Amino acid sequence: MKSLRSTLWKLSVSYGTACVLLVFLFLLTLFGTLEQVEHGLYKVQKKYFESWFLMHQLGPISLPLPGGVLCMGLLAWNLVAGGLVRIRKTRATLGIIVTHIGIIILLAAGLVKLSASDDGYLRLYEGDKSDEYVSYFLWEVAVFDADSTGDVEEFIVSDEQLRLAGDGPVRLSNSLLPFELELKHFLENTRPTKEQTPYPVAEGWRLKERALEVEAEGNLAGVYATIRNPLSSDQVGILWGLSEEPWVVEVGERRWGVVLRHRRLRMPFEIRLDKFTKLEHPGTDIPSEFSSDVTQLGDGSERAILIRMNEPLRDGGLVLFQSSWGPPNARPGEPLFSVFSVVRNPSDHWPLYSCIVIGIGMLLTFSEKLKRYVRAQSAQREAEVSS
Amino acid sequence: MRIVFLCLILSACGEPARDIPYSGRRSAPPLKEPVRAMSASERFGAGPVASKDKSSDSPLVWSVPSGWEELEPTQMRMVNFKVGEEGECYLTILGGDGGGVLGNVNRWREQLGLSEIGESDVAALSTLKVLGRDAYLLDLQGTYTGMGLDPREGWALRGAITTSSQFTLFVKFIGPQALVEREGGAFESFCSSLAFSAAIAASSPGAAAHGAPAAGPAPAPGKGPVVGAKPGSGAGSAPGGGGGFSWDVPAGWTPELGGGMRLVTFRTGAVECYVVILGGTGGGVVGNIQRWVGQLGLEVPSEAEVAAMPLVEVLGVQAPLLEATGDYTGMGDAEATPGVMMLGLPVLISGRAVFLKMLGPEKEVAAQRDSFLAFAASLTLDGDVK
Repeated sequence: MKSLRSTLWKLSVSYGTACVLLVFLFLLTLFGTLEQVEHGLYKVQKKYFESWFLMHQLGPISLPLPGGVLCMGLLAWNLVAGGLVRIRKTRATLGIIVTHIGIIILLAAGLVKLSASDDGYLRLYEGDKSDEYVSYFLWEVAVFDADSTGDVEEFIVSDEQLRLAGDGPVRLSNSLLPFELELKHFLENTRPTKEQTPYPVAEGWRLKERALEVEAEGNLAGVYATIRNPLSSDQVGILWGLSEEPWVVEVGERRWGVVLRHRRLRMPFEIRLDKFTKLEHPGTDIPSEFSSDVTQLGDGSERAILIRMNEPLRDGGLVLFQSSWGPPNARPGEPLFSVFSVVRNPSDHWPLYSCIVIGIGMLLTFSEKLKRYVRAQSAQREAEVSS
Repeated sequence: MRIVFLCLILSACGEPARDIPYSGRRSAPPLKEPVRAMSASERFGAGPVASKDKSSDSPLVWSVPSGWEELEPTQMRMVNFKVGEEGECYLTILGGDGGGVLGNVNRWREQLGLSEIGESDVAALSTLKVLGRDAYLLDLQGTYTGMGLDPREGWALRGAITTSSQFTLFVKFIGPQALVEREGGAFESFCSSLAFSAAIAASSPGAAAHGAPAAGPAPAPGKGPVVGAKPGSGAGSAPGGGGGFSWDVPAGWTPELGGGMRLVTFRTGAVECYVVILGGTGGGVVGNIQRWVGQLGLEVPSEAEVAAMPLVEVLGVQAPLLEATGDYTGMGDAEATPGVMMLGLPVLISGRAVFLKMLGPEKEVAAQRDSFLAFAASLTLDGDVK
């Protein structure tokens, strides 16, 4: 048993293991990049880099491969155990230890991004402001009082919960709501239709499943919703991701809105678009540059900021990039909206820190090497002189 | 055995629901207005909404029935759908009476191998509201022989025809009988969903009061169509526009409700001037001039005579200018009005036909001739450099 543990320990911390893991990471990057052409970035990221294992189809052969999470996890362990714990701690190895710390920070940044980040977009016309951005891929169902006049309290069904409704019905209730909400037949990409499909009819419509889009943000989810209330018969409707209008049901004397939409994410500040500027290449309608003058509002303070390509707004763990504009078919003089990509990544700056640490580590290592080389050369010259 | 029986009972009862709590509660900004209850069709975009962005270039908006594939419009098909594998449905608008309701009904019947019917039979056809007008509905079955097609047995045609003083609109849905029957409801929904685009409907004061649909693409903020002179402009011309076009309004011209396919109508004294936009060729340049001359009770000009007419540049295109006086009989007029002068400019631009017409007493029209030509010269498509 001891020998097995010892063998595993030696294997996990060896240079050979590190090399094998790096080869696997290279293969994952290569296959993932090639597959991205047909299956899109989102799907490939999930399959190759956010997985433990996967099967890659290499022509007629199904090739099992360790996923990115497994490879990077083992590599992190290999670096910690081999490069920090097991390594001899001498002045000569100081640079190597520091370099390993830098690489571990880089891997940790990836882990934090994988587990705690989200991204989406914020679309504003001039004069509009918002403290919410919209997820590209995640969905949610919101239930709210349709006759609210003040702030609206929404009851949220998360993307994760919603996907459970793809496997079977899920029932949600809350003591503040006079009904149960049952969701079933969740489909990630679907269209309402009046054709025959395997799914039931609701309000004269059915859902028709479609193949997933290559670009995952093009998928339009749908789900059947049933409102159950002991005082009335069940009300069944279809919620569809492209419909911005909620399904409105009456329960007792109140009306409730139920809507399926891309997940809304809150920012710790508000952004107001003051001016959107689009410059075009002469004689064309191809934009050469576009930028947004915005005001960041929060805690009673205002801050004017210019967001443009490669000059994002960074604050509160969020990064707002200028990503696009629209509508694409706007005629000259028509108002345009500006679109910002919003990324929430607590480890946003960690790769920079990692690079600095790795740089210091390599500097120390090469300085030590240089020093030793110079010493060896001096010693050799002295030996030649003395002989 | 008991277990099998139990399993059968459970499967018959359906899958039990899993109870889970809401993932959270959140305070959202106040609603701008109370949420309006909408039907599923409205929520899924099959209600009275614009079909596509391109509808902004079209005088019409419509809803695309679910499962129908919208194809690019062609010269004659302003709206064009593929339905199922073999079915097709399309909308055509022709200037004038387009051959008449009876003529077209019998033409369609002939395509299905059916005998001709008379006026009284047409009058007995059921109707459907299309663009606010009664449209005759046809439901025909037979062996379809379309242009260049082998006869197809067991086919059906559903059609709708409606006319106005300016145009005739045809919607034709042809395909295998089973398909046409199955999609019959969708066909009628499509016909009912047709509406004038907001830009055209709103291009005249009071248009909304005349049944312009509230739905459809709302003009972008700050881009509402402006018709007529600017307040305070007493002389000269003033800028105006609508439906994707801009123009200068000659002094003394008063905008009126456009209506129908008219983009805009102006009146000055007893003279009326208007612009009509149709999809495709709208009957063509020669055909329209011949029709207009016919309305004046004059000898219809030949193609060569039309080609010899003076040319005027409108929207970057050389258009023949019709100047004629006669006894005018408009569509639906019981009697001709003598001494009516007509100025007409038919213009074909990409995918659309634009018709400028001025009608009125000869002397008054002659006095407005320069204004008419100035108006025509000022007409531009939004986005074009004038």
